[in-house]
Amino acid sequence: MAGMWTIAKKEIIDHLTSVRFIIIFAVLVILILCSAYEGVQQYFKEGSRMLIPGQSAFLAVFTWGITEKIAVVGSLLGIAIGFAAISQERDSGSLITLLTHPVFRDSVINGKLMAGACALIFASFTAIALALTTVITLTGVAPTGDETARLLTFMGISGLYMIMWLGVSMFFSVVMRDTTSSLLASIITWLISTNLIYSIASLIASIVAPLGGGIITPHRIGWKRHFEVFRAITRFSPTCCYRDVAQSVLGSSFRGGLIIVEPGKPMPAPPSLLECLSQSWPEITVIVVVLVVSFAASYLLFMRQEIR
Amino acid sequence: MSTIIEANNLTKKYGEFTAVDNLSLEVREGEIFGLLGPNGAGKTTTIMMLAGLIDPTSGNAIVAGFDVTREPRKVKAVTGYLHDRFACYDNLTARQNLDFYAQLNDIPKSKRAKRIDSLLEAVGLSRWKDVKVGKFSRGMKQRLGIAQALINEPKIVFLDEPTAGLDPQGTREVRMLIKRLCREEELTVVVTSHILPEVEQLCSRIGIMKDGKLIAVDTFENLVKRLAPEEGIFIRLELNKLDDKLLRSIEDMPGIRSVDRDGNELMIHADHDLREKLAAAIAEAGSLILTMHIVQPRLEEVFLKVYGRGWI
Repeated sequence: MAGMWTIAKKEIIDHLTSVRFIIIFAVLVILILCSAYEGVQQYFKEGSRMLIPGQSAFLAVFTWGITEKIAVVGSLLGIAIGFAAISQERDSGSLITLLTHPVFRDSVINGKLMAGACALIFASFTAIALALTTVITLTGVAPTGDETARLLTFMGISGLYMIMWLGVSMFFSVVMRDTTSSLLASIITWLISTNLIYSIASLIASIVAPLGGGIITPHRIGWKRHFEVFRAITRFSPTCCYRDVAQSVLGSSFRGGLIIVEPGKPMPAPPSLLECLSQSWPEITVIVVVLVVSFAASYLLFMRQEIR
Repeated sequence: MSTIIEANNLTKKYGEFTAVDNLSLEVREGEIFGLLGPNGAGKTTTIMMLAGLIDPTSGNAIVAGFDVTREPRKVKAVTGYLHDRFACYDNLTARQNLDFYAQLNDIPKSKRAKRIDSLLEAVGLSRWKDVKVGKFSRGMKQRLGIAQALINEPKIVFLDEPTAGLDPQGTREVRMLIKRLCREEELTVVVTSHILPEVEQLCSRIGIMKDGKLIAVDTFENLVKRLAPEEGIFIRLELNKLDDKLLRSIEDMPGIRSVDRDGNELMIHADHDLREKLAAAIAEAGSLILTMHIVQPRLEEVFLKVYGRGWI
């Protein structure tokens, strides 16, 4: 792997000192800290009334809003690192200079992915750790063992989700002719994944399983089918998957916020972390598959691309 | 001098387009070899193949003992390359850039600083070594590019249009730098250019490319002779006095095609070098020669005549 570490080392320093990275990272940290603060204030005001039965108060306070900030701004951070990875060097001409030295081509792309992944893991862990410190300081409560395990898992999933966006944007930076097109393609994908997917899913669900009129109750078959179609479509969005996994891992939802409690029956016990993870594996798989496929595609294309 | 680059029937096709067509070439150790031709003649593609940067569609080349297709990394390890749009990292300083390339070449840390300092000194960038490259002028970047190409103490350096886009001052500096470095570092240099005076000044041998083919390889003088034998030779003469009798005797000399007079100055167009005979005739007539020299026909004029197309 000649040159890979050298390239990765240079890239990490580049990322951590680049204005683009610092600005988005700062925005992410500020938003997350605000969410943590808001969550604590709300908890002080509302108390346990706003918890889902069985949910850990600590995690609930901790997660209000934070997952969403990572889902939206964290993914932008991944894109910020990846969209120019190859295309900018190709545009400027420094890629040819780099390749005139005795490096393997795969060292270039591997080094870049590795450096980006390190920068993103650093960013997600730092942001979440800062939020954790804020919550502990404000409430004076420390997380239990289970809560700590869930928080660490959440950090890992968040890092993975951000790295997935790095993979996607790197793919565009290899495929697209120039950096501007690469950024545009990444942003469009991001917009669909974070936002437009809901409109698309809702439209398709209305066509495939129309709701009809009348009062909506959980027992109505049409409603259930509509909801299933909607969820199936949103599964194509890594952001929706991340939201589901994060909510599930943090114990703030029973599978995507849908809890059907039959009258007179006791509340089901909240699932353990392992149960949460095993329930969420389809969503985790989506994120991993998107990452692996986009990286493998960029790798293959980059290895075959003619340099001129 | 032994052969250090040997290319056999190199061909590179991009789809239907043949960029380099069946090119065979030998470059000897220690020479400055120039590849000359208009834009699009295939010069860059040729040296990119020789430097192991792109694979030939067919044919092969041995560079410094390594096969460019099978061992491109080994070729890169013993060659340096400056491409025509040279760029490095604008957010790093000159020294940081060179340090990065030095690391890619596995130069041990103990040697890196010394090598970088001596290269920056050689290309005249010592004062700016800690300035970010983004602030450099085109000429400074080009000189850094030359330093970058020499970082691994290469045996061969490929320079693709090294003075493209530089002002006259920068052009002169870079040419002098190439000549000096070639001498000091005992390099073999392959330089491409579409600028004739550049090749004429720098190179010991020249290969001329046209439409992907190498159409001639020789020294500048031989090329001129070969490509334009009918050109003959021009001799410029300045005498202390010149009378009609002497002028007539010169005009009547065998091998003289024409004589232009301007006061006591003569421009003589002859079939071949007639300086000795001229000197004898002038001495006999009692005149003194103040200056006498051969005026080379401009390579450019020769090419324009032979190929009938604009070059510069």
